Amino acid sequence: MNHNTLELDRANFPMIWVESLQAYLHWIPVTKIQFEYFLWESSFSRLDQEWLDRVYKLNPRVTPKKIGKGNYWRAFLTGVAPVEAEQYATWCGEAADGLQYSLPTAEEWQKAYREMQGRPCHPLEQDQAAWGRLSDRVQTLLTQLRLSLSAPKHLADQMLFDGGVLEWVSTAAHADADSGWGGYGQTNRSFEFTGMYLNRLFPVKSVPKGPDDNAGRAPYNGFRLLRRERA
Amino acid sequence: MKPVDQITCPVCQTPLSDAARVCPDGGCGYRLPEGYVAGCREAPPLPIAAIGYSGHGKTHLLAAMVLTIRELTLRPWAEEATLEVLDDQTRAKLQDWIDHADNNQALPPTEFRPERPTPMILRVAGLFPPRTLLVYDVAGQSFHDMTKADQCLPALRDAQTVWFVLSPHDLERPPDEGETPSADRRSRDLMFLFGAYKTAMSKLEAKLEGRSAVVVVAKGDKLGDKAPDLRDYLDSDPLRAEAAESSERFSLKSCEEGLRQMSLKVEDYVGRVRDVRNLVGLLRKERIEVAFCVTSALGKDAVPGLQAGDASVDAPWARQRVLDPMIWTLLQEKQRSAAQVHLILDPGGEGGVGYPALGGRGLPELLWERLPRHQGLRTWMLGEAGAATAPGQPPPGQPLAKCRCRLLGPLLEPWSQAEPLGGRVVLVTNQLVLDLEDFRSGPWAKRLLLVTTSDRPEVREQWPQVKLIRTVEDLGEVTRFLSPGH
Repeated sequence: MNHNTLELDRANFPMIWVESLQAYLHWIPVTKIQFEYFLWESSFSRLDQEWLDRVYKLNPRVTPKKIGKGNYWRAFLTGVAPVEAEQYATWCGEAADGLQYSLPTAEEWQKAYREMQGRPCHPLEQDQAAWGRLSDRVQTLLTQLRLSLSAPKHLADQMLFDGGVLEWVSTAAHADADSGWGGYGQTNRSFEFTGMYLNRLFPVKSVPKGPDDNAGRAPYNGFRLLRRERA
Repeated sequence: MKPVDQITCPVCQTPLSDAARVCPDGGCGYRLPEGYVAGCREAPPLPIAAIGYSGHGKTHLLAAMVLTIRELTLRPWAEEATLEVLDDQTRAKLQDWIDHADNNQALPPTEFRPERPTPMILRVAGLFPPRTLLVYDVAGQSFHDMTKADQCLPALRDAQTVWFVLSPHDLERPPDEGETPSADRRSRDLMFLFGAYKTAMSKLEAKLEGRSAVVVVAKGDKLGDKAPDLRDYLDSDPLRAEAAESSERFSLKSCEEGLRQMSLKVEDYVGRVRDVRNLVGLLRKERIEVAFCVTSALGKDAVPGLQAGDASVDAPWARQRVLDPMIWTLLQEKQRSAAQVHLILDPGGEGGVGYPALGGRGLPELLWERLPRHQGLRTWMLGEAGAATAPGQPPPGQPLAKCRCRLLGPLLEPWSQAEPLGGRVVLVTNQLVLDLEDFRSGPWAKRLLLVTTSDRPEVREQWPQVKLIRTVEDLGEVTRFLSPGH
C-alpha cells in the first residue's frame, strides 16, 4: 500500500509516515493551537478556561509570528496529563473513519527516533501538496520553528525529538516506571533541564490523573501522537 | 474542520455527527457514502435545487451540467480537476445520462414521487474550490400542488440559492391538444410556482429573506429572433464541446464579468414575458437576490419518438452555457459571505455570566436595535463551535453559561480560508482572548472590531481596531463598521 509522506491530523497539523511503525507520527510535538481546536470542539466540560489558564501558566503561549530561538518551546502544549493527551487522541480519531490515534509506547518512540535519525531533513515548505493545505497560522508557526533551529543534522532534529519537550510514552511493559507512563526526548536547556536524556526513558512516578489534578503536572511534559489504521 | 453550518443528511436534512455512517434516529436512516461528513468539511455541500414545471427542461439542464463538468475534468488544462461519484445510485443515473447523450437521445420526463428524493452526490475539485454537489432532480408535478413541495424537495431549506427553470417558449405556446385550459394554466402560471416554493419554505421553517434565486431561461436555442443577444451568447460558449481544443482554462473569476453583463440582458428579455416579470417581482418582494441566465441543454429540438416519453435529437447534445446557473450559485454564495457579519459574544467568566453592558442593558441588544440591516448578521459565542443563531436572527437575550475557553482561532481560521474577500467580525468582550494576537497581522486586522466597555488597557491593547463604549452614542461607530458600504 502506498502512503503519502505527510498527512494532516484533525487540527490540520502535519504527520509523517514512519516505515518502521507502519504509522504516521506528528511532525512536531502537539502545539497549543492544536489543543485549542480540541478544547473548542470537545465536550469535556472540565477542560475549560480555568484549566487552560493553569496549564498555560507553566509554559506561556506564544503567537506564531513571535516564535524564535529563545522561546519556541512555548508553542508546544506542555503541563498536560497523559489522560488529557489521550482525550485529544480520541477526538482526532472521531473525525477519521478507520483510523485511530494513540500515544506511542516507549518502544515505538525509540523506533521512530532511530528511523528519523537515519533520514535527511525534509523541506516541508517544498512539499506543496501538504504545505498548501495548512492555514496561514500553521505555516507561520512551522516556518518560525524551522528558523529557530540551528542546523538540524537529520529529520529527528528537525522533528524536535531533541530540543522539544519531554514526550509522554506509555510504559506498561517497562519496569522502571511504576505509573505506566514515562517520558522520552530532551528539552532545550533554556526551557527546562532536569537531567533528561534523549536515549533513556525518564520514569515518571507521579502523573496528574485529570483536569483537576495538579500533582506531577510539569512544564516540560508534552506529547505527540501516532496514527494508524484501526485493527 | 469548519465552524460553518452543520452537515446534514442529504435526504432528510437531519444534522449529522462527524462519525455518522447512517442518518441517525429521528432522521431517515439513509446510508451515507463512505466518509461523507469528513469529506463535506473539505468540500462543503452545494445543494442544487431546481424548481420548475414539467417539460421546461430541469432534468436536461442538470444532466447537461454534470456531463459538462465531467468533460471539463478531462480537458488538457485540467490536470488537477476531478469529479468523484460517491454512491451507486449516482453512478447509475450518471451512466444513464451518458448513454442518452451518446445515443443522441433526449431524457424521459422525471417520474413524480411524492416522497423525499435521494440526490446525486458528486464531489468536484480543481475547477473551483472543492464542493460536494447534491443534485436534486425532481418531477415538475412536485410543484403543481402548493402543499407538496416541502415533502418532495425538503433540501430547499438548505439550498441558499434555488433555480427557477422556465422556458419562455413553453410558457407562450398554445395549449396542447386534449389539454384543458385550467390544467394548462396551472402548469404555466409562475405565480403558483412561487407559491409552492414559499409554502414549502414556510413549512420547512426557513426564512426567504437573504436567499438567492437564479432565473434560468431554459431552451434558449428556441428564442430565435426574439433575443438575438442571448442567442449569440449561447453560441459563443467557450466551454462547449466543439471548443474543447481551443478553450481557455476555466475559472470562476474569468466568467464573472460576462455573467453579470448577460444577467442584465436576460432580465431585460424576461421583463417582456408577463409571467416571468411577475415571478421576479414576487421574489424581490421577499428580498430574495435574483440573477438571470440563459441556457440550452440540447442545443436543438427533441423529436418525439414512437413510445411515450421517448424522444431523440438528430445530433449529439450541443450544451450551451449550462454551467452558468451553478456559477451564479457560487457567486451568490460569495456575495452572501462578503456581506456576512459575525457577532461574537463573550458570555462572561469568573466575574459572572453576562454580556458587557451599558446602563443595565447588554451590548448585543443595544447593537441589534441600531443595526439598519440584520439579514447578514449571525451570532456566535466565544469558545463554542456551533452558531448561536441563524443569519438574521437577534442575538440570544442572556447567556446561559460562562465562556468555556476564550479562543477565537477555530472560528477565524476556517473563515479566512472560506471567504478571503469578505465578512466582518464584531467581537464583544471585556476580557483577554488567548489567541487573538495570532491574527493581528493578517487580513482580519481590518475586518475585526473589538468592542468593549472595559477600561483595562490590556483589553484594549490586544487588538488594533478597538471601540471603547461609554455611551450609547459610541455604538454609532460599530454600526458604521457593520454597514454594507464600510
